[in-house]
Amino acid sequence: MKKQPSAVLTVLLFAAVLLLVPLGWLLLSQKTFSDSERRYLAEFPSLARQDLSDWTFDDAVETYLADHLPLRDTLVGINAYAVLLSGRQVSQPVWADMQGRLEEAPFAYDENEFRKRLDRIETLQQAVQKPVFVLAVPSAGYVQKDSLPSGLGALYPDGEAFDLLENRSGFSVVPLRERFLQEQKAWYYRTDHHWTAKGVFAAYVAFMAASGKEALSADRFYHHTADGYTGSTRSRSALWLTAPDTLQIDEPIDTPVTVSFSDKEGSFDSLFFYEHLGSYDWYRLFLDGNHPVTVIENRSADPSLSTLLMVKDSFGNTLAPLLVPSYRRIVLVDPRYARTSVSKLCSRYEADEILFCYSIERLATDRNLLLLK
Amino acid sequence: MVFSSLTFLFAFLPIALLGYYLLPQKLRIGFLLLVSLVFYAWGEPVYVLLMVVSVAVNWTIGLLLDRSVRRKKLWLILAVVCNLLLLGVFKYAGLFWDVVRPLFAEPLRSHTLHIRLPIGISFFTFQSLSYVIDLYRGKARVQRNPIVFGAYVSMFPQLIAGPIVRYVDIEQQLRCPDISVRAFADGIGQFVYGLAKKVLLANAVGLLWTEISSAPAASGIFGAWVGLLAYTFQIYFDFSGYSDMACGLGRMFGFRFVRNFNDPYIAQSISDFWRRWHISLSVWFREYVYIPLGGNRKGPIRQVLNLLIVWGLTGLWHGASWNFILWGLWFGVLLIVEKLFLFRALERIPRLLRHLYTMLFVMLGWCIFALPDFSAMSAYFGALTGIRADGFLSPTAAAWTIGYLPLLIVSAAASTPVFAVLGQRLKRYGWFPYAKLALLCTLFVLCIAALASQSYNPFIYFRF
Repeated sequence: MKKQPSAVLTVLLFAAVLLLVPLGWLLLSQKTFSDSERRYLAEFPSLARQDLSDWTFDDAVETYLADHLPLRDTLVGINAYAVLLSGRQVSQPVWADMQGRLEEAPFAYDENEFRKRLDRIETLQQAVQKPVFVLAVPSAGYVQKDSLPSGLGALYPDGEAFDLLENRSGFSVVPLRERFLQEQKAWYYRTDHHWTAKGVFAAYVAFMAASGKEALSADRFYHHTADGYTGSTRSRSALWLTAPDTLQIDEPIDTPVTVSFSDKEGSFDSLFFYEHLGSYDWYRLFLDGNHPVTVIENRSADPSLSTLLMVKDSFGNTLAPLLVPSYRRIVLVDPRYARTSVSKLCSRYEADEILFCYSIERLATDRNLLLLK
Repeated sequence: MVFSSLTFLFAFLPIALLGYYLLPQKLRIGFLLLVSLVFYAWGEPVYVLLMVVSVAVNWTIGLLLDRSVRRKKLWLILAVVCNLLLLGVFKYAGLFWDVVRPLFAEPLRSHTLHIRLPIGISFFTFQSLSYVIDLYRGKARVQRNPIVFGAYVSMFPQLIAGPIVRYVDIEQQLRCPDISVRAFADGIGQFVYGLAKKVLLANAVGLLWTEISSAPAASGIFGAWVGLLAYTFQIYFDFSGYSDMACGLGRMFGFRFVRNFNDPYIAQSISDFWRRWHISLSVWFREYVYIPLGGNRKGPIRQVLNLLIVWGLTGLWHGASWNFILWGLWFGVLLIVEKLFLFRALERIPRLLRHLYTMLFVMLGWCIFALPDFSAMSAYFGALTGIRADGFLSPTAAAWTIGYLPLLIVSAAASTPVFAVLGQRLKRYGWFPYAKLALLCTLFVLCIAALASQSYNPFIYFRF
């Protein structure tokens, strides 16, 4: 045995790994939620609930063991960097660009499916007979395509989708695409798919112009920041070495509000919920994240100001605070969670205008928009 | 349960190894049988009984055949019929019924037959057949201990994806396994290299094939060829990786299995390719079908017929689907052409051209193999030939090709003996074993990292 120390070492190392991992599973406390991956981890499968004949129990056990593997975050990160460094990020859901920003991979675009969603918006406009605006936010990868490794930028279908959107006539399209393509710097977070405060402000100005209103200047807002923000693209990519962002918050000056949610008791006097800075998802700071219906009353509004109904995804949560000084009331409805009829909400809150605020990806693919009425 | 899973690596394997080595020598084979049955039952909780019945029947017939003086042939025929019946019912009944059901009236005509395929049935029935046939021929000695025979048939390292271990090759080892630190360490090395082939190469390059095969025409001609190249690497690293893991596990438990692959993608002809690819299956068909049929001893016409029979069966062994039969016959015809006409011409052309010729036909064969649906197969061939391709290379296929280029290069290198040759040259240096160990550790960590991350972990040869 003395003549083969490398063989002995090989056996000892292998045995150590084979024993330590199961011990880790047994002895380390089991988490139910992963902050870094922003998801609930698998529970140990119940044998009774699984179909033994088609391997579902085997698969469920494997998922459980993978989710609770000791040093999981480190291992998942190692794999993410191995894929990135070997050039294969084209197969991943999030791409790293040459500036170190993380961008969602292109979405699966189906022109007919997008057309169906736009038809629903037109039908809604005909039903309510109010001005309808569509504000679609281009994907970060599409806007920043020149920073992506060779060939990847060309795969974004945003251009096609915007061409279709901008040629529709039943509603007004807020012209955002060109604006974003012209000034692409720092308008998206490095670790998140959302826009930064500068991006939101550009959208705010564009919408106000499209709706015939005067936008407030940037100095009419307080500018707050919070360091150490890590968003969705970092979680999805597991590229843990990506430096965190600074979360940017624009708060309207001297604008008292009352905020209420359809699925949460009570009312609140702030647009921003700072307690979420202690959670895994800081973006919920804006209007407490996504709710089926959110109502913002501007307590200092002139009675002549109008009411805006905003049909939105999470991008709307950061745009709405900027719009508050210009409206008496803003009603936000998120069709992913709300089963309420938008036209009924429009009548109930006597909305004067409707704004669809979505990422172009969700506008083109969200199935809930097909149920719009 | 597959070897490239966390369940196997960190739950099953530690228990199997600990139990095996903590028990006294005489109890180890029984323990190996027990854990092998658990391993099989994990994926096949019902069909494990089928395997137990198969073991019992073959062991009993083996005893009867050994005792018999005048009825040896009868017992052999019974064993062959039982094993082929098992395969026929569970693997080929659906295909057979699809062929004959148009002859019947409704409602039988529209009735389809779905029998789920027991994992590894093709492997364990072929192993059992090798035992009874070799017993009949006097090449093997009867195994009177049902536990030892059961362990031979069901031994988990080679149970579900081979290599097909013939009883004569392992008979001695079943009595006295070769257990040593060196053998165990070699087994670890072989296992980890196999795992890396499967997880780091086959699974990764498989994504490229999946992407392109989903829309071959839209990928363009070049894209279609890149996709097929990706599948060519995927199936090789998938299967040879699994065979390496099986051999490595065998070594850890004291058994040395036959080598199943010998760098098939450096072959200089189709005949050469089949001497290097899935060697244990080729040997099985040669020993138990081709030679008994007369091989090449009964004239060229009979040889052609024998080759067509063997290769039709080889295709059929891979699955109850017409594309597999076509794939087998594709190679049968190529081998006949080589044997009758092409060998002399091949000897005269440069090695590189011989290699290109071989790889071209092997890759086209993989296209038949990969696509059971004939319309998908014809669409893919249309893209390869340019008849049904949208241009040369689509932007999506180009992005995937560029991204996967480093992996394709590594895969190409790993398909040759270049790393083995390098290892041989560096062997004389004192630091080499430690560098090898460091490489092994790195690969193992990368494999675990990939397994912790990915849900894409199919195993192609499970179907057989």
